[in-house]
Amino acid sequence: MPVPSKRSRTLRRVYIKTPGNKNKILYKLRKHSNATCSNCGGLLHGVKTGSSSIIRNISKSSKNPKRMFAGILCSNCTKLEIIKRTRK
Amino acid sequence: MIGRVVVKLSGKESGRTAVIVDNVNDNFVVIDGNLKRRKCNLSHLEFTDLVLDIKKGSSTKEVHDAMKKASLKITIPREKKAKEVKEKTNGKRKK
Repeated sequence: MPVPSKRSRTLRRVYIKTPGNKNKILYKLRKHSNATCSNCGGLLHGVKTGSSSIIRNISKSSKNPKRMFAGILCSNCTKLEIIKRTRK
Repeated sequence: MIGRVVVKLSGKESGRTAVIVDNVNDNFVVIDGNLKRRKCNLSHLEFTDLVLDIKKGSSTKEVHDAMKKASLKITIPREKKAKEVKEKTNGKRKK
């Protein structure tokens, strides 16, 4: 039986065949999905994604664009949102 | 056109209010207010019903005063205060 940390599904499994014709399992980190706009669902540009240990070491200014609703809405949806608020 | 209160839509200053101060050409105007005075494309602006009475090419001080009269919030300070420079004592007390 594998060690307890490898029994959970936090690590993804890659099945390979060795040159000695044995089956083995490699445990690798999962990929993080890209950030998406909460309104239209499109991909957000300029938003860093990855494991927390990577993001922790990036500077604050380079994580997100410096804008209203940065990291939540895309640039087109922010335009529509601001227009909606000003025309009230 | 001059004196019209606008809201900026694009760029890092999106969502901030400003006032049109000058015309450049058919597509560009000069804006000032809750941002640094800059040239701006008309398609990047959203117009409001408010019009302030200011002259063409008026300074930021005059624009801020006109905005205060119309009870618009001013988020940017007009002038930055100079930092007070402390005298170096190298850990010793002043006599």
